[in-house]
Amino acid sequence: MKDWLTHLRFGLLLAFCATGFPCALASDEPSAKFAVVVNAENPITKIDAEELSNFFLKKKRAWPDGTGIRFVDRTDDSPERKHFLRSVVKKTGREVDLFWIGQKLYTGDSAPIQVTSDSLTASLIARFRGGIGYVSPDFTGAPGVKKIEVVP
Amino acid sequence: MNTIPAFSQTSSLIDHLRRLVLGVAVFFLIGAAVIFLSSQKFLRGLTEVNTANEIMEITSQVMESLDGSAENLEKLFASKLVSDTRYAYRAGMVRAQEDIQRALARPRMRPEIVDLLRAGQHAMYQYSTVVETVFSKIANVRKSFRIEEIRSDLLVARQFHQDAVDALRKVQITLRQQSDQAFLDAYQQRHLPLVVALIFAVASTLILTALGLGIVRKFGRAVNNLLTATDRVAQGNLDYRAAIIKRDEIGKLTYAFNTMVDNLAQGHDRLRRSLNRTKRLQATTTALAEALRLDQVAEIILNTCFESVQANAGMIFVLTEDRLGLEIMRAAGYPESLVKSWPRIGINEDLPVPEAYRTGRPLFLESAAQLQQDFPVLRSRPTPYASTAVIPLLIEGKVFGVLALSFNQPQSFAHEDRDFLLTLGSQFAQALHRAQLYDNAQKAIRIRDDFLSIASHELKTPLTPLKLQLHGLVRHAQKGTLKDLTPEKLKQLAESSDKQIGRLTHLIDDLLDVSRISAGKLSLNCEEFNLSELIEEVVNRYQQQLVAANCTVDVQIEPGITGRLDRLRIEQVLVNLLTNAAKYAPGQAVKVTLARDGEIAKLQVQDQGPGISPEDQNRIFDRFEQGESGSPAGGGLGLGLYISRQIVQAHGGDIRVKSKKGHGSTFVAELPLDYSPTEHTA
Repeated sequence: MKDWLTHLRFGLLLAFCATGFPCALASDEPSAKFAVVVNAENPITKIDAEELSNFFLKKKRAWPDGTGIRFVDRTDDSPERKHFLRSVVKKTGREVDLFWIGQKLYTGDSAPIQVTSDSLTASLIARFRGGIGYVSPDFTGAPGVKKIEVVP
Repeated sequence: MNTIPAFSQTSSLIDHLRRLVLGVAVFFLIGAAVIFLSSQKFLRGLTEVNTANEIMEITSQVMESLDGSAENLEKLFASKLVSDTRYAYRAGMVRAQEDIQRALARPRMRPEIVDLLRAGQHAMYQYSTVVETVFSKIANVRKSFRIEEIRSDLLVARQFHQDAVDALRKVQITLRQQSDQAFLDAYQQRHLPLVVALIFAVASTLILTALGLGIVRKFGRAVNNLLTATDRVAQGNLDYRAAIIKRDEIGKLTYAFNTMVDNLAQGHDRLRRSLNRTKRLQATTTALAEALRLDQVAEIILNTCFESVQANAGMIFVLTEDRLGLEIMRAAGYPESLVKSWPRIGINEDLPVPEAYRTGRPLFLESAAQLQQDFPVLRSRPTPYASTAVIPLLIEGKVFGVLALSFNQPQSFAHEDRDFLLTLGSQFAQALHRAQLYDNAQKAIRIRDDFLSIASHELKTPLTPLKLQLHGLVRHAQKGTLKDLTPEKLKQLAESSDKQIGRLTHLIDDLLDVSRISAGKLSLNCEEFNLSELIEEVVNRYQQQLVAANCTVDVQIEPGITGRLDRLRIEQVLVNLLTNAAKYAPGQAVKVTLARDGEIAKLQVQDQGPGISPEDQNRIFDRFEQGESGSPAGGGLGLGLYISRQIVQAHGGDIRVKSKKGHGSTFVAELPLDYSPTEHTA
């Protein structure tokens, strides 16, 4: 009996490894379901996820050259936002909302501006030198912005 | 003389009170400042809370305005009235700008608040700029064209709007935190002013009490010091002096008290000395009243000086008989050599004793140096004494003696010392004068007794043979043998009786002359006559008596000397001189000389008798005085020379004797020849 249970556990573990674990690894890839864009004048080419999370949560407010960071968020119904929150911020939308309510109360900071489309995201980032945001993976590009790589 | 110590010109009590009042004022000011500062922090906290509330209100209004503008902006896509939207937007923005400007204009804001407000203002500016751009694009371009661009601009505007709102929210959060903290601090420090005031009140009370006690203690010590001195002095301790603790008004009071005690002690000492001297004076007066003789008086005088004024030596000088010098009547305390060196001092010598005699004023020589300075003669004879006092002895304003006192210790001769010495001098002078009068009286009584004895004997001498002769005649008469007496015998008896009667008459005449002289009734019957002839006649008439005395007479008379004189009195003078020569120089040669010296006739009678000692030469011209201790060789009353001097002096002349013991005597009578006596009183 004991041996049976042992074998069952081992079998389930193998099944999980064969099916679920690779999927989980694929869903945690930061730039798999979205792409990060910055103002074209920004010299960076890549950014790690933690840095990107700090930009989103306004824990870091300026680029290395002193330019103010302006993060452009997407509306709640955007699938890119869900991916972004889950893979980069590692919070749910509800948690983020509560976070910003708290920030508004205790620091005065409000959540980044939310736009409805990649084009508006791009146009807004293009207007600010310190602009940064995320778009859908299939975003082809727009004047004044560029994609950068997200390092896990 | 004591110098007055320097005292403070201001009152120490007032100074202390001034310091106390100043201390109270300083403490009050410090306390008020501390309370003010402590309450100021509290007030500043409240002010900060108030300011924060005001700014929060303003920022809320700004945020409302911004939100209103944003809402108006959102209407752009729902409303076709762009101009109305634009107008409403601008009104909200203007209000927001004015409010934030009003907030920035608030004074005393913290820098971080100002920075946040400026950031909000900047964001509003950017927001406004973008929105205006949007309005321009909407107004000038068709809506279908470039809608994405306008949307982008609106997003940018929204971004700036958010920046502004975030900045204002941060301002509010910061202000709220500061306001809470300021309120908390103010609340926690709400008791601080009261605590500070209490601490200060207690501290100031303690310090001022200590200061007050210190002042009271200091003054109490000075006052107690003075009270102790007052008690001591009141108990009779005049030597006690209060210590001057501080040179303030109490120190000045203490100094005045000490000066008063000094004066009291000096007055007490003067009074004691005065009382002592009064007692001495009384004792001296009593002692002098009981002393009759000069030696007793002199001894009392010197002893009094030694005891009362602490003199160490003293001498009493009296005027000599010739009134030309002063001689020591009595001396005590001086070395014998010193006394012997001043047997007699001329009244004109430059020495202290003659000086006091001449001037009638006392001399108080406080030091030997002053003595030698005032009397340079004494520089060659240094005195062993420190001070000297010389007091003239006066009776009825005339000096008859001098009292000299010497002191081993230097004397200052204070005013009262001088007065006391002068009072003593007056007492001494009276006592000495009284003693002299007593001595003179005693001497006069003795002379009178001697005279009465001599006069009785002299009067009895001629009466005895006269009585015997008369008794003889009576016996002859009783026996009836008178007829047996021969005429020669009867003549001899008669002549003898006549001689005794003449002698008796002469004695009685002398007594009558003395009586007249004493009564001032000696009168002269002057007439012009030849004096040479009178002298020669008298000498010849007296020749028999001189021969009887075995005396030879040598007469040298300058002839022709005439003058206006009393003939009988001049004759009486010559007879007296010849009688004395025969009496005292029997068997010796007698020389009678008359010569003229200008207007004066000099009559000399010289004998070769035993001579007269110097001390007797003046005495023999006094009443009842005789040479050689009153034992006349040939009897007599001792009145001859006295009467002769009075007669010669009544004629304006004088009579003197020149004699040397063992070499005879020469009596010289000088008679003015033209003397006109108006009235003579012997």
